[in-house]
Amino acid sequence: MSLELHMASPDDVLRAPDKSLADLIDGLLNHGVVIRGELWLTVADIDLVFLGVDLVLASPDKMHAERSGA
Amino acid sequence: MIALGWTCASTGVPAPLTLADAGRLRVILAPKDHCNSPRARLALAQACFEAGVDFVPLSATGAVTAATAKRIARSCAQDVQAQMAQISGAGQLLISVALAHSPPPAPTPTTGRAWLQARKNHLSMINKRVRDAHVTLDALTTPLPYPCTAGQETPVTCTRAVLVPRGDVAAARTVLQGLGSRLHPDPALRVDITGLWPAFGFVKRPEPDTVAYA
Repeated sequence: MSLELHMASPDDVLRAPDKSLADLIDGLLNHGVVIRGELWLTVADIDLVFLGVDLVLASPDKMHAERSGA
Repeated sequence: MIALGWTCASTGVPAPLTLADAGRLRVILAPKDHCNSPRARLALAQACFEAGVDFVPLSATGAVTAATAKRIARSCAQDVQAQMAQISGAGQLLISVALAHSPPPAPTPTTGRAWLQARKNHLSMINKRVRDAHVTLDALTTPLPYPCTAGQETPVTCTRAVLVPRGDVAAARTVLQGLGSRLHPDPALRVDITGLWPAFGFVKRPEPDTVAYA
C-alpha cells in the first residue's frame, strides 16, 4: 500500500461537478498578477477618471467632514 | 474587453481572445461577456495556454480592463519581459493535499471549560493536519528538479505549485507517482495533482521600468 495520487487535467477540474475537484480552483484564483487599488472609469478603452482605493472605500460622511475641516 | 495577461507572442491566441499592442508587449484580451466570472477567466487563460501561447497571467479573481493592462505593459515592460523569460515554455502542476473526509462530530460541550477544550482539540487537529500535509508536500516536491512555490494554506488544504516545462509534464507525473509509491498511505489526506496550468504561482505584479524607453 502507498499514498494514492489523484491526477486530473485542467479540463477535468474546470468541468468537475465534484466539489473536491472544483475546490482546487481556489488554489489558482488567488495567484497570478493581482491589480488592486485601482479603479479607472473608462469609455471606449480610454481612461477618464482614476479613483484610488482609499477614496473608493471612504464613506461619504467622512469625506464631507474632511472637506469641511471638521 | 478584459485582460488575461501579457505576452510577447504576435499570433496564436484562440478565439474569442485577441491581442492588443502595448509597446514591446501585447495584452491578451477577452470579450467581457465571455469572462464574467473568475472561473470563466481561468478557463480562457487555460485555453490560451493550451494553444501554446506563453504569457504572464493576471489573477482570474480580478477583471482588469484593457486600458489598465496596456498602461502596465508600457510602464513595466522590462519586468514583464523578465518574468516571461522565467516562465517561457513552462506551466505549473498544482499539488494539493486536503482532508479526505470530515472528522466525526464532537459531542456538544455542556460547560464552558468543555467548550474551550473542544476548541483547543479542534485547533490541534487542524494544526496536525497542516503539518502532515506539509510533510507530504515536502516529500513530493523536494526531489523534483523544478522550481516550487512555498504554497498556500486553508484550514483544509495545503497547495504548492511546481513549474514544469511543457514537454516534461508526462515525465513529471511519472516521477510524482514514483515518489507517492514510497510514502505511507494516509486515509485522512487526499492528494490531487492537476495541470498543466499557466504559471499563476510564479508571477507577481510588475515593477515600473527603471530606464525610460522612447
